[in-house]
Amino acid sequence: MILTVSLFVLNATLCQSGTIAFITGESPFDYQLACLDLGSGEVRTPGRGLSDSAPQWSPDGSRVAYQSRIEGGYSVCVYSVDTETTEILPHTYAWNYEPAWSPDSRKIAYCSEVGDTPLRSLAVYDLESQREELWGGGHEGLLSPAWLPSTDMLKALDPDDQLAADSLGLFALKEEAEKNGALLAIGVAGMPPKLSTEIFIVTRDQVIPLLSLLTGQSTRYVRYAVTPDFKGRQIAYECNEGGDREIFMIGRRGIANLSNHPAADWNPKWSPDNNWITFESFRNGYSGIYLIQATTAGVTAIAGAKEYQCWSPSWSPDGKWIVYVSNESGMPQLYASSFDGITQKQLTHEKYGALNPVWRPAPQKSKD
Amino acid sequence: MASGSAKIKGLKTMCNCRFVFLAGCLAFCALTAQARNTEGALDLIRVPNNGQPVQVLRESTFEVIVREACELSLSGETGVYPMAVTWHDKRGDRVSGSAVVPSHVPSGTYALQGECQNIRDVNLRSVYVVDAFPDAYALAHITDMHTGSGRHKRSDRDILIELIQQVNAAEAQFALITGDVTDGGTPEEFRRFLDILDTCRMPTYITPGNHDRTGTHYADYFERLTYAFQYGRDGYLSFDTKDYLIADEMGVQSAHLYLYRRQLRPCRWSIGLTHRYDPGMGIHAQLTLFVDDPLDYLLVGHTHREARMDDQIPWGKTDLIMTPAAINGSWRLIRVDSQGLHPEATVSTVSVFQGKDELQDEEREDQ
Repeated sequence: MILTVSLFVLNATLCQSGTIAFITGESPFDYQLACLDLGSGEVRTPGRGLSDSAPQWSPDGSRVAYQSRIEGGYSVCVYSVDTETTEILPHTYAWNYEPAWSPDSRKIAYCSEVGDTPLRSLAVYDLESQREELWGGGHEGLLSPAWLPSTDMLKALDPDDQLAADSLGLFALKEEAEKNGALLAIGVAGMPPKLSTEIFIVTRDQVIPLLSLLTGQSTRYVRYAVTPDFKGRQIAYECNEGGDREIFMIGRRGIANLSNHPAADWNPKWSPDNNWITFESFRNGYSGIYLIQATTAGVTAIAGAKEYQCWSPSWSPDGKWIVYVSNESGMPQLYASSFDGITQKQLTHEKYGALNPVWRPAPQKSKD
Repeated sequence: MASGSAKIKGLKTMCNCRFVFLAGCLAFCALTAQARNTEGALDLIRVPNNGQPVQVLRESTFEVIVREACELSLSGETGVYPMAVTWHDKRGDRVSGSAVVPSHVPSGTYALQGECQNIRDVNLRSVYVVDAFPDAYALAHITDMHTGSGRHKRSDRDILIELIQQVNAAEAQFALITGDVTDGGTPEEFRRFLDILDTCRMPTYITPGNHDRTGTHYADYFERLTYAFQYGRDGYLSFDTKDYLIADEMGVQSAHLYLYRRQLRPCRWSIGLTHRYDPGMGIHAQLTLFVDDPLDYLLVGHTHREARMDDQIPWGKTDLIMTPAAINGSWRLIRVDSQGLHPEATVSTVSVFQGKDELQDEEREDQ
């Protein structure tokens, strides 16, 4: 159903085709999944309009998974672009959040509230077998799942001796990861009143803390928004090590503080070529969009000013554009900036604003 | 009638102005006609208002948010005082500005009145000019007023008016109302709440609760969902907790919380005000407020009961202060000094019963 047509028609220098999924609605209760067609400027609202949020495109670009309200909880829903139909996944537990697609677009990981506490476990739904499984052996207190695109990172986790590997369950974890895939997740560590968080590698049966494994330190830091690059060889994450929030990277050369600035830096997103990370920073006073080169840690400002905020960046599939949300016009709307930050365009003029943009990946041909 | 008692108070205030009685009356008639709108919602002047007032020293500045840049003045028992305002760029349909309190304004309670292009508006109880900020003071914590709930046989209005009278009699400098001021978030309930609120004789700071955000009307009555203010050396940060998806990662609230938290960093005590704390709230907000730069205290309601041992913020350093519901006749005085915040025992002496017969009826129903 076409509700509105964006007044702005993208000019030829911006992407002539492509789709951006986003959330719009008068209030959080009414939030609805919407899709902006960049070629025509049309905005469609295929979502259920029931507190829809956290949209994620499948890597093959055929579907959007998002969380949406159902009676007595939240469900992960899958909207198919081709058939224009929405499937509400049949969950075991009522409250389910933050869907994340597997690299082959066949599975969806998400947080599921298993017990009475808000501490969540990770579940994985197989769209082919239509089966839901709890991962990490049902470990509680896991957030923000992200699939590892490969097991290359795990190969680097070679302890010096067999005993250490056995005690950490690393061999079993690698074996399982090769077979079923692996997730990165933020996990709650410690005990109240001294909780912190840590990055965990999660397979179906295993949960292993990554940073304490790499650094040998206790889980004293709090981290959020962990994302692997598209080859699974580098991981970007937020950490408050050193006092304020910074973008850190785990790569071949170990762990590095990439952003290193007195103002907070958060929400890292890898470019499709794995060379750049876009993130939000308060270094200009307000929240703005910045780029950092993973190899040199050089930072470039993309969007932002002292009079308004910019947030939620997402890359175009060709890595030439970044879409983000800004309240420059007084209402949150989608804007796009060229990679160099020179060209910026307002993409939406939605009555109730636009949030949480995610650019559709380039549709892939089936390998079957 | 929207803010009826507030308008009557406004009439008395204006009539006490002895300079130009007729002109004053004419001005009053024009102004009260636009004091909030006929629905009781905010009009030209958005901030400050009687749910987000300012307490300010003479010759100091305070932030105003309006729909159009306009002439602003303070109106009180001693007269009307025009203010110099520096306006910033317009964003959407809002303009913010910095207003300066004239040096000759006596301390006291003022309405902020604005005028531009034949629009006149006045926000009662929105500006409090003070001589100094004491280092040691007291505040009243009120929460969960649920105006319109009808949950007791005694009327909501009677319960809440009596509770406000108790608060008025206390030695508090201001009152913090942490959400669920209405039961269903309807315009009618907000109007009735404003009527009750304006019986309070001290500044009243309001935070939205999940019941207030059932509809989409809260911002029409109080404008901002998240804001910060300073009282002397102490900083207060009020933030919206909507529903279960508190402080979600999609909107701008995470950025606002970060900026306000940094703004309040030099303060002696940093005190968060929210309706509901839940460990499932947006993680960026939690990291900002409880981990990276922990608030010293967080005042909450929502549960309608005293805090239990397991009511704590699990990240470590922020003390939780929870007060039972005003609609059940409860509120709390909190003393603030150089040693911290000292919550006193809950005051629960407002009866929710109309009389002895009704009390017996309710006891029989309970059995």
